This record gives sequence, C-alpha cells and structure tokens, in this order.
Amino acid sequence: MEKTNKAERIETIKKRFHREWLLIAVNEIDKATTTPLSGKVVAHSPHREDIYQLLLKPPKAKKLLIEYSEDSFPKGYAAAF
Amino acid sequence: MPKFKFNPRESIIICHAEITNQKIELSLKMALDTGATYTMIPIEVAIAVGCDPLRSRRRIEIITGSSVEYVPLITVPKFRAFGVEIKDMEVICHNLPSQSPVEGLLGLNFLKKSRVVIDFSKNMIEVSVPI
Repeated sequence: MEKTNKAERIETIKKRFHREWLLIAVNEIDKATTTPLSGKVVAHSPHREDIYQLLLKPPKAKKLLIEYSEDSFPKGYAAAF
Repeated sequence: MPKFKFNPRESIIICHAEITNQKIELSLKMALDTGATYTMIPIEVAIAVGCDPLRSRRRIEIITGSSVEYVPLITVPKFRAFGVEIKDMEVICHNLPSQSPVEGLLGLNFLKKSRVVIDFSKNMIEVSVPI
C-alpha cells in the first residue's frame, strides 16, 4: 500500500513504477475521452491479482483506476485477441 | 465530435473505459478491438460493480485465437468509453493473461452503438454520440 497526499498526473505516476499494477484514486478525468488525468496511488504491486483482491473490498474512494505502468507488451510479444 | 489521439508505436490501440454503479466508478485500460464481438472485462471488476458473473445464468462461447472459452455474459449498469455512455450494457467476463498491459477489450457491441472513425494517417479516433 502507498498513500500520498498529493494528486499527480497519471502519466507521472506510471513513470515512477516499473512493471507494476496500480490502483489509483482518480481526481480528474477527461470526460470527452473517458481518460483519467490525475489521481493518488492507493496501492501497487507487480502482481495483478493483488490489485484485484483489493477490489473485492474497495477503498473509500469512489472513482478508481486500475492501470498497468507499461502500455507496451513485453519484448517479443504481439497481440492477437 | 470528441477526438482521441492514439499512440501509433504501440501494438494495440489503447483506450480507457469506465464502469459505474451507484457506489463506485472503475476505470480500466482497454484495447480497441474490432475483431471482438463483445466488450470484455475482468471477472473481479464485474464483481466490484455488483455484477457477480457467477450469479449470471447467461453464458456464451467465444472463439479465441487458440481455443473456445465458455464465459459469463452480464449487464453492467453504466459503461462509458470515448465520452459515450451506454446504460445496461452487455459485457463478457474473462481475464486476459497477466502479460497483457490492458485488462479488457472494447468490442463491437460498444463500437456499433456510435459513429467511430479510426484514421491511421492522423493516429486519431473520432467518436460521436450513440446513433
């Protein structure tokens, strides 16, 4: 768990964590694109399941974002959903 | 008309979606997928918004690249992406492998309810309100 008092840009938060799953209390969202813009880190873990477990008993924040710190697939991976 | 810039260097088109009930608003990172019939979200997210897939009697078979999966089909109260909100939207519940940087797929059952233009020459998506 990590608690910070100051809201940060989501992109700034992602840069602080390497290959981690993040649970973020969202402060600001771009309603036109539904893109979260800023928030505070509630929890982080290299394991997605840890973050999902927290969802089963969600924190007090009403607006939450689950975000992996990377946008790219691991090297050598491609997507075919 | 809302415009959304995507990163052409990524191997998928990444966007965000918001799933809402009266108590919680959950945002997820998704991949826009015109090859997916249904929008797909993780099981735990469905539970968090009060739509436990285990209680759903509806199941559907989905053909993936490597197998056929039998997954729950549920209705979430509010679903929003690209600024477009759909009430009582059907989604399937299935967890992508953890190597994936996205947690779900934004599929055709969402995209067909809007006017969506993907312009790869400008790396831009334009989405208008539901038809």
